[in-house]
Amino acid sequence: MSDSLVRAATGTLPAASVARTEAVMPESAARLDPGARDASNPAAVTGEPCPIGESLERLQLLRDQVHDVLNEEFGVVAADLGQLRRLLSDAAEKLSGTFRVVTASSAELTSTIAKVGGGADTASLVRIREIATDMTATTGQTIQSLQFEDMATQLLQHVDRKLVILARFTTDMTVINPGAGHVPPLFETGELDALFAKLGAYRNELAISTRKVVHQESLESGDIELF
Amino acid sequence: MSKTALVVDDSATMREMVSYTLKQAGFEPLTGGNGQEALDKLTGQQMDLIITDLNMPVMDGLSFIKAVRARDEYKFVPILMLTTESQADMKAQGKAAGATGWLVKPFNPEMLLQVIGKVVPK
Repeated sequence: MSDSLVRAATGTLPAASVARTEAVMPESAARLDPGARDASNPAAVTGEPCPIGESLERLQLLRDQVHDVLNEEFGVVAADLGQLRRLLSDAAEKLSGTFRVVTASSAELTSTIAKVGGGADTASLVRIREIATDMTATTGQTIQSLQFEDMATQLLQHVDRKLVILARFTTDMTVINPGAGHVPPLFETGELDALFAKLGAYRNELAISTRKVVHQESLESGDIELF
Repeated sequence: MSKTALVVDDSATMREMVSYTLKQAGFEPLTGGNGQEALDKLTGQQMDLIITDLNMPVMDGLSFIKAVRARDEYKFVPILMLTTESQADMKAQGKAAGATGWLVKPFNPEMLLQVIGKVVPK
């Protein structure tokens, strides 16, 4: 367990932290003094409001743990997306292979019918010709459908880019000032301004860098415009 | 003599589907996985049609079209943008870069061939 986790868990605070808190909030600092507190945490038992210093400290612990959970889950989601991408790619490759075989067979069938047809149009030959025509007619629809892989891959890339930024965002916004010599962290106006500026920068990055490029909801053919 | 077309897309499936469609219309397709790769294939090559994606690694479709249009021998080659993007501002950028037309994926082979019939001289 890290020092901060131990401190937060046991309720012990470094003297520098108490001193700094005292300068800002004298009453709270007095309550932060471990010697002045009941080890059984009476505030929790009686339902009284938690002292502000303790609240801040526990919030910091909460924030650290939220960061850990998010970080771990981002990794899991990224791995799942990678797996999905590999499955899609494999499926598309196999379907493309099948497409090649079917179109080649269809073309061969058509040319064979033409060769053996001659003047003798038997019922069987007519039927085979119909089958060949049906096979050719479905080719267009197959070509249109096989484009799902390209769109799905782009959507996955979009989600992936968002995840990368969100993982950075989580780290930047939850592990705030980890090297600060004061627990709980007390911020100066400039530090808070910088945090808000960082939040704004992330909002922009999420809105601009991860622009969604796939809006299709089906595999209906798209618009055409000639300039 | 068959006409030559260049198909540029980072998706192997898309390159294959477009190439197949073009072959049905008598084109001989060349392919590139991104703009830079396609530019390398263009050098000294007679080209009757270019179909390119927009979002690709290394060099995207807009940069590719600008680079193609900067070469005198390809100034008037029809270039169709085939992309998932359908926003008006992106189309405007494509037009400004020198695209001849804009097709939103997925494409229908028959419709693609109709468009090609309109932009490629007989």
